[in-house]
Amino acid sequence: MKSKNIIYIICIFLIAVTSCKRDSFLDRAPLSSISPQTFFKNETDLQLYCNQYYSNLPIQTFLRADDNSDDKANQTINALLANTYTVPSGASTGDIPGTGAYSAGTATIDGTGTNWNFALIRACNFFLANYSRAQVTDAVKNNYVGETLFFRANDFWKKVKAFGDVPYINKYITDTSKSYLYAARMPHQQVMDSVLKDLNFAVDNIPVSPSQPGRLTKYAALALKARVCLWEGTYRKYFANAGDPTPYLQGAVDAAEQIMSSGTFHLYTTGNPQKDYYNLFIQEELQGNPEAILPARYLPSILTNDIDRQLGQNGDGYSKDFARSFLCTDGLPYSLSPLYKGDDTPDDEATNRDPRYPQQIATRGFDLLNGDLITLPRIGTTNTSTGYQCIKGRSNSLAAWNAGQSTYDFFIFRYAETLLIDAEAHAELGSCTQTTLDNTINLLRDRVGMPHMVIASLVKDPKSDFPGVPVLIDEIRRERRIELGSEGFRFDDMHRWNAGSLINNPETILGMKLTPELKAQYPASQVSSIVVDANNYIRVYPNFTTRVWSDKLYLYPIPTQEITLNPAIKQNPGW
Amino acid sequence: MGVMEKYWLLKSILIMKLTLLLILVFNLNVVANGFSQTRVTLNLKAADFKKVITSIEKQSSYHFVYSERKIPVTKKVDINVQNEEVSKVLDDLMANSGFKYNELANHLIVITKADVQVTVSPVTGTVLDEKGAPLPGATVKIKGAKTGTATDINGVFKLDVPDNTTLVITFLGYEEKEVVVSGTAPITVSLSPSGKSLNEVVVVGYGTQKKVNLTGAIATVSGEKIESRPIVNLGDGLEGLIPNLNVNMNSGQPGVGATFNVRGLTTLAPGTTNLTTTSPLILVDGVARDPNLIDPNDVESVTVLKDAASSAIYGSRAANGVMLITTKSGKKGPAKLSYSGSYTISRPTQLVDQVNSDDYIKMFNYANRSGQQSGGYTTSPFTTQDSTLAAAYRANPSANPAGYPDPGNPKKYRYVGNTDWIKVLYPGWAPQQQHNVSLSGGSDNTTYNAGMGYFRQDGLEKSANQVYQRYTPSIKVNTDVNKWLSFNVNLSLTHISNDQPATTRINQGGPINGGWLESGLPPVMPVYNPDGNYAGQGNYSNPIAINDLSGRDIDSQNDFWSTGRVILKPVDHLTVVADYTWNSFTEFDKANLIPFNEYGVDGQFLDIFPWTNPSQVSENRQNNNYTSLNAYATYENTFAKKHYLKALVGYNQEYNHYQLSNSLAKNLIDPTLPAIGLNSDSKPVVGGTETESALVGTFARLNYIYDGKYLLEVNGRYDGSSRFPANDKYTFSPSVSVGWNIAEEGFMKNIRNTVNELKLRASYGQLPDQLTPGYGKSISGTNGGTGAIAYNNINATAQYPYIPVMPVSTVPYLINSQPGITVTTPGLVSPNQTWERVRTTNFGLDYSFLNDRLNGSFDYFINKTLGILVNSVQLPAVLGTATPPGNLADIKSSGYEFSLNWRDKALDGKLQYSITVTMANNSNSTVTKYSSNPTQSLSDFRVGEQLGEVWGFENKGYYQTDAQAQAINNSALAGYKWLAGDIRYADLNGDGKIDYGDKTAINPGDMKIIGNQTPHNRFGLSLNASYANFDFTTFFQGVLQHRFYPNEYVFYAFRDDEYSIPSQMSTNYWTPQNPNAFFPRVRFSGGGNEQAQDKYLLNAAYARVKQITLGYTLPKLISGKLHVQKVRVYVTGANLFTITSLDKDYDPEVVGFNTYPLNKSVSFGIQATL
Repeated sequence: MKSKNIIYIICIFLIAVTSCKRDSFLDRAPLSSISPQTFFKNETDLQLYCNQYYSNLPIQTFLRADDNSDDKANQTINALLANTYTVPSGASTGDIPGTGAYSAGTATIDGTGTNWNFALIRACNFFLANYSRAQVTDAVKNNYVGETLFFRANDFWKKVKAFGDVPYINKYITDTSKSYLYAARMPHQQVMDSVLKDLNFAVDNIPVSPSQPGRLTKYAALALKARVCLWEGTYRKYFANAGDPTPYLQGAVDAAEQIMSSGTFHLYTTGNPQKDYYNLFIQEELQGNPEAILPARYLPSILTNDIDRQLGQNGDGYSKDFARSFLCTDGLPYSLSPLYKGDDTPDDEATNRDPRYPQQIATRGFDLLNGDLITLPRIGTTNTSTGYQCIKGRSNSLAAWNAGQSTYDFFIFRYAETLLIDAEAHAELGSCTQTTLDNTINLLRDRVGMPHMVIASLVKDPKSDFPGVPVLIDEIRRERRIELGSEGFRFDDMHRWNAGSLINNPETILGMKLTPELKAQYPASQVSSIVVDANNYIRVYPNFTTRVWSDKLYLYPIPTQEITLNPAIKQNPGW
Repeated sequence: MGVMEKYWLLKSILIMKLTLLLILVFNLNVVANGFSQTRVTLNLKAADFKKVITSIEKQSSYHFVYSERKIPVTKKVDINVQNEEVSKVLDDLMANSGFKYNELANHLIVITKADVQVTVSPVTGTVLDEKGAPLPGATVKIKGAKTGTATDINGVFKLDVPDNTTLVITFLGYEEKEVVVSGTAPITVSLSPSGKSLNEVVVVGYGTQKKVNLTGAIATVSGEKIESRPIVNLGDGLEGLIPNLNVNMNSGQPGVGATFNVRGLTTLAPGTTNLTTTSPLILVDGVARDPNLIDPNDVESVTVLKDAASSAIYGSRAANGVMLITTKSGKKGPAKLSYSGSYTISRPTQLVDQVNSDDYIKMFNYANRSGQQSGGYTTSPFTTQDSTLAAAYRANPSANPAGYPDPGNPKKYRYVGNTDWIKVLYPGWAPQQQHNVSLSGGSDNTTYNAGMGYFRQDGLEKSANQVYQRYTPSIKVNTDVNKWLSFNVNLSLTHISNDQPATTRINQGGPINGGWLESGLPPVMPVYNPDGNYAGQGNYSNPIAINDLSGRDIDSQNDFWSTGRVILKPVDHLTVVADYTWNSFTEFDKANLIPFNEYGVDGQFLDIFPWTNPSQVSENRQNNNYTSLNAYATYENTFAKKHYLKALVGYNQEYNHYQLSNSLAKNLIDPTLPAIGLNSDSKPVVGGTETESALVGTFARLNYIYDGKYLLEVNGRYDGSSRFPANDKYTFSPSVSVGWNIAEEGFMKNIRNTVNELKLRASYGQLPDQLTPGYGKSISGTNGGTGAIAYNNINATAQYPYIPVMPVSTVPYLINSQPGITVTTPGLVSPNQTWERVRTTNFGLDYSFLNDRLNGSFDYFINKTLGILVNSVQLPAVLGTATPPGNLADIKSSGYEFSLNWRDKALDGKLQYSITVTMANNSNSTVTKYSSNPTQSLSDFRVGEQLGEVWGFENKGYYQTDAQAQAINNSALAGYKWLAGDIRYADLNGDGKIDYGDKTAINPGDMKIIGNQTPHNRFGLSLNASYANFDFTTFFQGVLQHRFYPNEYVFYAFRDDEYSIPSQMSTNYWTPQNPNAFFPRVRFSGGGNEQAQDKYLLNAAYARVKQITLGYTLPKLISGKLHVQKVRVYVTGANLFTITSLDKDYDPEVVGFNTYPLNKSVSFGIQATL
C-alpha cells in the first residue's frame, strides 16, 4: 500500500542521514586567513612578516620628548620626577606617559620601553623559528634575520634602560615553556652583550641598498649600534661594577666612523646659519636628505601625522636651565661671556646666543601660524608653560596645522647624532683630538655659524652642570644637549652619566623671568594666575620649589602582578 | 457635491474594492477545494459495516453521519471493488440491510434505518462571543462528521443538516459548545472564553505539547500581549512578561535591538558581568533568526524553554535556553483583512542636567587649583577675563558675545558662552509610526496569511535627522494536498533602511553611535561663534556642525527567509515533517565624509575640520547565506486508554556562509557627490572576510504518561560542530524530566473544582555549549548593530578557535612609499579546547485553583556550568601574547521564577479583569572552580567570587585639613598630595596607609567587598480589564534589589580629564564652607577620590510603569454601518513613570550614563478588522 511504502522510505531516509557522521560537512577551514603552516615560503613572505617591526622604530617627533628631564617643564608635572609615580599593577601595552611615549594620529611614538611588553620580542623569535624554510638564498634570508635582530636588540636595550636586568627570551616560546616563563632576570651586562651580538649580525647582513625603499640599511644598523654602544659604554664607566666600558665605547667609535667614512651622509645646509637648523625639521621630504640615515616619511593622503599642530599648543616649555645652557656667539657660556645681555627681557636673553637658540625657542618675530607673529612669549595660554616655547618641528604652515594632515618627515637616525656619538666616545676613551672635533662637533657649529670648539682654549664653565667632569667631555655634553634638544635623548643621557641629580637644580622647573615691567605689557587677566619666585622667574609648579632626585628613579618599577606571577622576579630597588 | 454624498461615494468605492478582494479570495478557496474523490478501491473480507465506512472515508472525500448504536454491527461483508463509485458501493452495502443512506451537501452521507424519514433542512445560525459580538471564523460541524462550515464576517453560518443533529461549534480560545438542531428556526449560539489554561497547547522543540503534560520549565506568552500596543521591537514587548527572561533594551537609539538572557549568567566572559553575554538560542518558526528583525505584529506566540530538559532537543546551542517564536498562520474561515497603525511621540526617560557656565568655570578652576596645590593634573585655567565675560553673557546673552579673541592665538575665540548642550541636542519629542496590514483566512484545505508591516522611527538627536525604517512583507500558505500530505510555504522579508550622519563611522561627535553625550562639549562653547559660523575650532566636536555638514551613513539591509515544509501523515498516529530553509542576508552600508571649514575670529578661515577630512566614501557589503534542513517523525498514541506514548526522532543540519567586503576611497572628485567611483585616491582600501560554519544534530524524545497522572520525558541529542577539531567534533546531550499530576489522583476527586491542577515537576539535563568562540562569546553580531545573535560571529578566530591564523594589517611606516602591509604573528591556540557543559536541575510546581481563576507556576533551578573556556593560568608577560583559553572554570547559580494569575468577572460579567504577578531571581553566579588565577588576583576571576561583586574602600568622610590628609599615606591610590576635602578611607588592615595590597583576595589592602552589582528580584505586575467597550491594560516592571557603581564622569566631576563635563548633581562638592557635601574636592583625574567605595554604590532598585493603555472598541452599531467587524482605538503611554531613589540623571533600567537613553512615549493607535 501506498502509505506503508512512504513510511518505509522515510524511515530508511532518517536512518541514513542520522546514522552517519557528517565529517566532510563539518570540516571547515578559514577561507580568508593565512595559516602559519603555509607561510614563509619566499622573500615576499619574509618581507611582509618583518614589516610589522617597523611600527616600533624610534621616531623623533619632538612632542612630549624630554618631558622627563631637566630640559623641559611641562604644564602637567612629570609624575616620575615629582616622585608621585606609583607601581603599576599589571603589564600594560602602553608606555608610561611623560617618557616620550605618545600617540599622535598615525605617528605613534614608541617610548622608552617602560611597558614590560614582550610582544615584539615574541614576533622576532617566531620569525627566527620559521624563516629558514623560505626558498631563497642565504644572503636574502640573512637580510631579514638582520632586520629581526636589529629590532630585537633595540627592544631589549630599551628594556635594559627602563628596568635594568630583564628576562632574556631569545627563542620562540609557548605557554608550556616553563623554564623561560619563570626565569629570573638576566643581568644587565649579559643582556647587553647579547644585544651587541645581534646588532653586529644586523650590521654584517643588512645590505647598504635595501630591497625596498624605506627598509633598514646597513647604515641604520650602524647608527643604532653607535647609539647603543655609547649608552652602554658610558653607563659602564659611570656606574660602579657595571663591566668594562672599552669594547662598547670602541664599538661606538667604530660604528660611527664606518658611517662617516662611507661618504654617503653630510649635514644639511644651504649656507644660512640663521635658518638651516630650524628648516631641517620641517622638511616635506627627508628621503635623499644627506643628513637622514633613516627617515620616517609622510605623504599626503597616504600617511600623515598630527605633530605640527600639537607642537603649537602643547602647554610645555624648555626650562630656565636649558635656556641658560646655550653658548654665546663667542663660544663662551653666559657665565663667562661679555656678550651676554642678561635675561630681564626675552629679547635680551636671546641676543648674541648660539643661533640654535632662536631656532628652537620662539622669540620675537617667530611666525607661529600663517602670519601670527610672536611678540611676547605666550605665557598664560596653552602655548607654553615656561615662556620658552618649543618650536623644533613647528611650522607656520596652515596646511600642516590642519589636524592630522601634516606630512613633515621625521628622523629616526640623524647624521648629527652620529657625529656627536663619535666625539663623545672618543673623549671618554681619551682619544679625542682636535681632528676628531673638527670632523664632528665643529661641522655642527659651522652649520649654525658658531665658532669652533678648540681643545686648547676650552675653559671650564663655573656654572657647569658637571663640575667634576673634564672640560672637554663637559662641553661635548653641552653640544649634544643643544643640538639634540627635544629629540628624546636627555633622560637616557642623564641615566648613563649617572646624573639624575641634575633635576635637583630648581632652575629645571623655572621658566623665563617675568619682571613687573614685562608683566605689565600683558593683559592682566592673561597672566594674573602666573606665580614667580623671588627673582621673578616663573614657577611652573606653584607648590613645588625643587624636585628631589632619588636613585631609584633610574629604573622603572616592575608591575606588581609580574612579581606575583613569577617569584624569581624581584622588584627594582626603592620601589 | 455635498459632504455626505462625497462620503457615501468614497464608501461605495471602498466596499466595491473589498468585495472584489473577497471574491478573489473565495475563488482561491474554491480552487483549493477542488479535489474531490468519489471513487474507491476496496478489498475487505468479513468486514463489518463500520470498517467499510471508515475505509471509504479514508479514500474518498465523503464523511458519514450515523448513530453507532443503530448501525448493523453484526453483518459482515466481503467487498472487492476497483475504482468504483462510492454510491455504487453503498447501494450494494445497504441492500437488504434495513438501512438506507442520504447524501447531503458537502459530501456528507447520513445513514439511518430504512424506515426513518430523513428530512434535511437548511439551518442558519449566528455565533456570538461573550459580549454578544459576532464571531467570524468559528467552526460549525455536525457531531461525528469531519466536515462542517465556518461563520462569515457577521458570525452567520448556513448548513444543511438532518433532523435532530447535534452541531459542535468551536473557536480558538473559547469553550466548545454543542447544540441540538430541530426545525429550521435560526439559532443563536453564544460562546464563552475557555478558562482552561491547562488545555492550552504550547510550542515545544520540534512540536507541541499540551500544557498540562509539560514536565520542563517552559513559559509562554501569546502574541495578543504584545499586539495591543505599539512597540519598537519584540524585546520591547516581551520585557517583564516572562519571569527570568531578561531583556536588555541596550539603548533607545533607532535600530538598536534588544538582547536576551535566560536565568542569568551561565558562563564567564573575561572583563564583564553583563547578563547578555549568554544569549538563548532564538528560533523563529524553527530557524535561527534575529528577533529584532521581525515585525512584532506577526508574532503568534513566544515560548521560552528554560531548563536543560526542555532545551536539550536543540543541543549544543541551547545551553543558555531557547526562545521559540511562532509567527501567525492563516485560520480557516472567511478572509479577514486587518489593519493596525499607531503614531507615537517619544523622548528620553531621563536627561542629565549639566552645569551652567558659572559652575563650570568655578569647578574647572577649583580642579586646577587642586592640581597645583598637590602636584596633580593641571591645565590652563579660565582667566579672570573669561569669568567676567562669561558672567556678562549669562546675564544678557543678546548684548554680550559668547567668545572673544584668544590672547594666545588671536585668530581663535576663547569661549565664554552658556550653552545647555543637552537641550540643544535633544530638544523635544521624536515621532515614530507603524502600520500593518494583513490578510488571512482559509478553506478546509488551504489557509493563508499575508501581511505587510511598516515601521518608522526618527532619532531623538534632532540635528542628526536619523530615520530608521523597517518593511516586513510576509506570506504563509498551508495546504492539505490530500489526507496524508500537507505542504507549507513561508516567505518573509525584512528590509531595513537607516539613514544617519556619517560621523557614526568615525566616532566623532559621537552621540549618534551608542554613546549619546561625548565629553568635550563645555557649556562655555556656543553653538555658533559670535560671527555666525559654527563654533568648534578643532578643539571640540560641535555635533550640530558635524551633523549638518559631514555627510551621511545610509545602511540598507535585506533579510530574506524562505521555508518549505512537507508534513506527512502516512498512517494513524505518525507524523513526519521535513523542512528546508534558505536565508539570505545582504547589507549595503554606504557612508561618506565631507570636509568642512572651521572659522575663527570674525570668520577667518582657521582650518578644515580634521575628522571628516579628506572626503571619502566607504561601502560595506555583506552577503550571508544560511541553510537548514530539519526532518523528524513523531509517533503519538494511547494504548489501553491509560498509556500515552509520544516518540520523536529527527535530524537537523545547518550551514552558514558569511561574506563581508568593504572598500574605502578618499579624495572624491566632488565631495558632495558621494560615488565611490569618482575619486582620485591612488590607493583605495579594499578588504573582506569569508567564513563558514556547519552543524549537524540527531535527536530523539520520548514522552510517556500513565493515566494522565505520571509523566516522563527523556531527550537526547548527538551534535557535531565545525567549531571543534577533528577528534572532538561530536558531543551528546541527555536530559530527563518527570511530573506528577496530583490533581488527577482519585483522592483529589472531591476538590476537583477547587484544585483544577496541581502538578509537581522535576528535571535534569546536561547540555554542551558550542557558542564559545575563543573567549569572545560575543553577541555583537554582524547584523548591523542590532545586537544580533551569537552564532553570527564572522571572524576566523570565532569560527575556528582551534586553528591559528596570522592576522594581516598595516603599519604606520612607509615601505615603497605605501604604509607597510604586514602579516603578523599568530596567537596561541589550545589544541585541547573543548565544549563547555551546562547542567541544570529544575523543580517546578504548576497550579490552578477555583475553576482556573487562579493559576500560575513556580520553578526553582540550579545551574552548573563546567569546563568554561577561560584564559589559561596567567603567565608572566614575557610570553608576549595572551595565553590560549582552556576549559578551566566552573560556575554555579540558582534561582526561582514565580507567576500568579487571577482572572474573573464582576458586575454581572460586564467587567472582566485579570491580574498577573511575576517574580524572578537568579543568585549571584559563584565561581566554583578557577585554576587560572593562583594568586587570587582581583583583576581576574577567583574561586568563591560572586560575579558582579565590587571591591572597594570604606568611606569615612573627608579630611578636614591638609595636615590631616597628609598624615595618612594614600600614595598607592594617587601620587599627588592629598588635601582637605579629599576622601578619607578606612584603614581596614590598620597598617597606617591606604592601599590595594597586592590587589589579591588574600591581600586586598584596605579594600573589601562593598556590594554586588547583579540585579535581584525582578518583578512584573500587569493588570488587564475590560468593561463594556473599554479595555485597560497597565504593566509595571522593576527590580527590587540592584546596586550600581557609577564610575563615570557624569558622576565624578572631571573624572577622566579636563574635557569631562560635570553634571548638575556633582556641584554638591566639598569646600571649606560645604564640609558635608556629597562629593569630594574637585580635581582633574582625581583618581584618589574616585576609588570604588561604599558611599557611592548607589541603590538602583526601581519600579516603572512600562505601559498603560486605554482602548475603546467601537460599538457594533457604528462599526456595522462602516461595514467593518471591529474597530478599536487606543492610547498608550510607555515608561511614563518611574519610582527610584537613583539620581534623576540616570535611567535605572540602563544604568551607565553614556548610553543613548530609553524613551518614554505616548502613542495613539487604531486596529480595524474587515
